Parts: sequence; structure tokens; C-alpha cells
Amino acid sequence: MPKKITIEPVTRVEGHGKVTLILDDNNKLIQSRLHIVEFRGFERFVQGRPYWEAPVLVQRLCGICPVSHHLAAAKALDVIVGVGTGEGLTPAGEKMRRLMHYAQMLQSHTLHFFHLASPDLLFGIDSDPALRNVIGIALKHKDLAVQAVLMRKYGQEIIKATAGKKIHGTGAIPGGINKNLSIQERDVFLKGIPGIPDIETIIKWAYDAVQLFKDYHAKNRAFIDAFATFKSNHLSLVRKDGALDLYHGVLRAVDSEGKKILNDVDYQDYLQYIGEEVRSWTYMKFPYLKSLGMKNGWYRVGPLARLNTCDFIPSKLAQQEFEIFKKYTGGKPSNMSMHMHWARLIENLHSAEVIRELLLDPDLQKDNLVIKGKKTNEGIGLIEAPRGTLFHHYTIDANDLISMCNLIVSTTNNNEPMNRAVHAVAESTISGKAEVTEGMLNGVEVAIRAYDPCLSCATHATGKMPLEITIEDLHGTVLDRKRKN
Amino acid sequence: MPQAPRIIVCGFGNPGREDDGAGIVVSKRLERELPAGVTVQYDYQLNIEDALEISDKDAVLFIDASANDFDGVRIKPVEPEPVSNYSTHTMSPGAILTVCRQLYGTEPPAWLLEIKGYAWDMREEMSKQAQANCETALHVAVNILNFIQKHGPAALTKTILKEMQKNVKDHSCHR
Repeated sequence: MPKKITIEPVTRVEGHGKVTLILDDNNKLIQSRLHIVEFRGFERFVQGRPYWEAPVLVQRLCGICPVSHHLAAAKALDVIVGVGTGEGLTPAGEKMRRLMHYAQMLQSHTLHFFHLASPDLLFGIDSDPALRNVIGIALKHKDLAVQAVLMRKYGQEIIKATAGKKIHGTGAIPGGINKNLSIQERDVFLKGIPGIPDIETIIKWAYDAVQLFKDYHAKNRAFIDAFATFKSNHLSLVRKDGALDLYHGVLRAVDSEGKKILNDVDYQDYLQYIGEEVRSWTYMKFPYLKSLGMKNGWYRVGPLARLNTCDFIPSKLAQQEFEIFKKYTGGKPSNMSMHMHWARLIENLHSAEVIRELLLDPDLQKDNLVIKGKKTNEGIGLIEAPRGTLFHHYTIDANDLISMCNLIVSTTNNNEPMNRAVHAVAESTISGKAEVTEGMLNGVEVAIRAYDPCLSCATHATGKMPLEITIEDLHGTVLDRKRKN
Repeated sequence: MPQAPRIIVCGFGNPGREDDGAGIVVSKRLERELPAGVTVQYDYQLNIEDALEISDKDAVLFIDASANDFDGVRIKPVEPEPVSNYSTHTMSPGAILTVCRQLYGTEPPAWLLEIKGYAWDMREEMSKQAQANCETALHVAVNILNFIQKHGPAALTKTILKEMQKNVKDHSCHR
């Protein structure tokens, strides 16, 4: 009789994910399903609200990357107020937003490295789970942990200086930004003060983190290159000249060999190119490239996809690392899930370099912050969030109220790849019995950690968040259950 | 004259998710009438940098909404605890204490003020019961802060907490 294995991280309220593995009579894996419930009801939440409120309202979607939602919404509203798509702002307006965004990228990527990547790299994925986490790093690699806290704080403080505050920031507004960066604020980040490092130190630490990955990779190639590896398409924004650009650009998609599928198209036309499939077993949709159809058109987003789609990185140290990264796969896209960590750290280094470049730019002290244009009733904003491409699409009615909102968040874009990653791990760890093993728990966890999906995370009523694995048969009878965390 | 204890209030939650924002609501109201030596911060959630924020404090009061099984408001000491390790998206107050101890060699005494919540949908208003619980929580938080200021964090024993918890119930009944 076919059986189901369910791996369930249970949160208190809406952020709820689980993995179900469906086995046939011979305990062979026939399907994997990663269920993530998120963002239900958001369209209803913003409908009827004045459009200019959107950049603040949407920050409540995610406690880790509220800035990405803030800026994606602001970019969509730039179109609605008639000032174009990311290129029509004043230099101060665009560069302040970029500073906010790259600071967000730095703090988010740093957090990921500290929480999830470095424990795996420094201790190995089969090490004691009690140590293979942020506490283990704090205990065994204190210097690294202190650096991570200060890098995270550095990013947070720039966000505060550009968005106005840490929670419900109001920095980006339709048509621009509501403040510039004073010389005093700039100098804090350039030169540092007690508790906030200078930018050169941040760049050095970001560079060292890339070296840490490469060292580990050199010693563990077989594991890193084989774990949850599968061919996929890759999608991201790129600058018009093909450079990596996390704030604005055109949409590009390549296949697993690097052949272009979407050739630098305007994202205002995304509905021509991207479809969303609905499946009966999950609320989360499955985006796909229409030209390839539902079966073959799914794609990855995020750091790995971005380094697979772009032609170069426009900052010195990150470009050097990018060349090493590309050389490893002979110039072709990397389809190795664990290379996501490598790509993320290169982006982190790039973010630090961009922050330095922006801090040195006198445009940040200029006063021309907002532009007005001729209003329209529809706008689309895209941005490369830490976990991947984020789509915001709004229409407004005659009373300036939001009448339609459609979001495709990074985690949704990565829905099929995450399912594939879990499937690849499950297939390699099935014990031959309908049982949850430690190897399966660890492996599935590592696969999820690589993507770090957003689980409706901006809700944090005190409670517990265990990882639970349940094995059921097709009738729902529980055959085995294990819980961790 | 001895220096007043340095106390930090860390409220967290999401005001866009109904009662989940209770910790933020109470922290913001506390911010308006703080005794000397007390600072307030609030965010969507706790994370590693909060270990740095609390490292130079004598006491910490975390405030959060809760879906746990109790009525009204609950106060309890926070003990160091392990970290959930498959996501970057959240850290518990106990995990913040653990990181603080490991990185900065200090572990300030900490308490968690839990505010019972009932509704977690994507809306900005809180339920009426949670709003009432916030009033109680504000009262409790002020009492705790004043007590620590007057007697020091070490004096806030389990016995005193029990007494405060009893007063919470009385306060709720008479409201």
C-alpha cells in the first residue's frame, strides 16, 4: 500500500510548512511535496487602501526583508505616478533607494551565512544538531560570530538612516525618497563609530566569508557539488548591459546550459512571459515561463540564479570571485544547490562594495528627492530580494484606491526548485522502510536551509516551532513521527 | 547615589497581523513615559543583533503576543535555550540570551511578558480581548520596570513574580 511521510515545521499561526513524501508499495519515493502556506489574504489586506500607503503596508509581509517589499511597491507606484520604472527618479532618489536595498542585502545575506551556511560549512551537516547552528558558531568561532552581528547591525543602521526607522520605514515614496543622507550619517558608515564598523572592515569581512566557503568547498567537493543537484532554468533581473543589478533591470532567463530563454525583456510585460500554475495540494502557486509551458518552464531565483544569468559583476572584488565561480562550471550555469551559499557570499561582497561606492557619491546629499509625472492606473515593480526576484503589481481606481494587487514573492518563484531539492535529498536518504531517519531529517533541513524560504515569517507570537516528521499511509494513519527543534 | 539599573524593553511582533502586534503596541506606549535608565526598542522579530543590544544592560523585559494556553497576561523569567536551526527568520528570547552569553560573556536577567492573543489574520486592528490584555500588560510592565529600578533585578524573584501575577488577575477582574 502506498505510504506518506510528512515532515512538518509547525508554527503557531499562519507560517506553516511541511514536507510529504509519497512512497509506493516497495517504499520507493514517487513524489515529494513541500507545503508552504504564506501571504494568503494579502491582496484583500491592501485592496481599498490609498495607493501611497502600499510601500509601508507591504513591509508587514516579511520580518526579514521588509525593505524588499517596501522598494518593490515603491517601484510599482513610480509607474503609477508616471515617473518610469527605476530610471526616472532623481539621482538622489534612486541612489538612496539603492543604498537602502544593498544594506538590506548585506544584512540578510550575513544573517543567512551566520545562521545557516557557516554551521554547515564549519561543522559538517552530520555534526551534532545542538552545535550546528548559531550557538555553535558563537561557541567555537567567536570572532566570526561577533563579525556577523556587527555586519548585520551595520546593514540595519543604514536601513534606519535611509528608511527612517527599522519598523514600518517610510523612506521610499511614489516618485522618489523622503530624505537624503547627511554628511554626519554618511561618515558613521564610512569611518565607523564604536559599535558600527567602517565600510572597509565590512568589505574585508565579506571577502573573508567567501574564502571560508571556497576553503570548505576545496575539501568537500563531492558533497557540495552533489547535494540536491538538479538541472533547472534560472531567472533574474540584470542591468541592461548584462551586469548584476539587484535593484533594477530587465528580465533575463537562461536554461541549465546557459541558453537565453527570456532575452532582457521589460518586466512591465511580465504577464506575457510568466504564468502561475495552481496545484490541488498547496495554496502556493508554481510560476513558469510560458514559452516552455508548465512542465518545463519552472525556474530558480535567488543568488545562484542571479550569478547564472548575469554577464559580470560591476565591482572589483566581487567580479574576481565571480570569475572563479564561473570558471568552476566552465562558464555554464551552476545547477548545484549548495552553490547557492557560494553565490550568496559573492553577492554579499558585492553589496558591501556597492555601499562604499554609494557612500562616496555626493548625490546622496542632494535635495531633489521626488519627481512627479502623469498618473496612470497600473504599475509593476520588480526587485531582486535576498531570496530572489520579487514581483509587485497594482492597479488603482478613480479614487486612488488599490483595486488589484498581485505578488509573486521569491519563495513562490522557488516553489518547484525547493520541491525538487527536497525530492533529491529524500531519494538519497530513504532507508527502504516507511520511517523517518536522522539522515532524512538532516538532509531535508539542509535543503530547506539553502533556500531559507519565507514562511509568513512576520508573525511571531511566542510559541514553539518544531520540525516534525510524520509518516502516514494513504488513509492518514500515522505510522511514525519524529520531532526536532 | 547608586546608578539606576540599565533596563531595555524589547517588544516584537507584527501590527499588520491583528493580535500579533501586541508587543509593539505596549512597547510604543511605554516609550512615551519611560523612567530614567530604561530604553525601548521594537521590531518585527528578535534576531542576532539583539544579543549586542542587551549585552550592556542590567535587565531585559521582552514583550510579545502569545498563542499559548493561558488567560490575559503572563510573566516569566527567560532561561537560555537552543536555537531553531532551519530558518533565519526568528530567534526566541532564550536564544538571544544564549548568544549574548557566548559572544559577550554576559547574560542579563530577563523576563518575558506574554500577552494572550486570539486573532492572527492579516488585518491591522487587534481583537477586543487582546486590546484589553494590552492595557493589563502596560500596567504590569510599568510595575516591573519600577520594581527593578527601585530594588534591582536580583530582587525580582519568583515569589515577587507570583505576587505580580496575582495582581494582574485582580487588575483584570476590576477593569
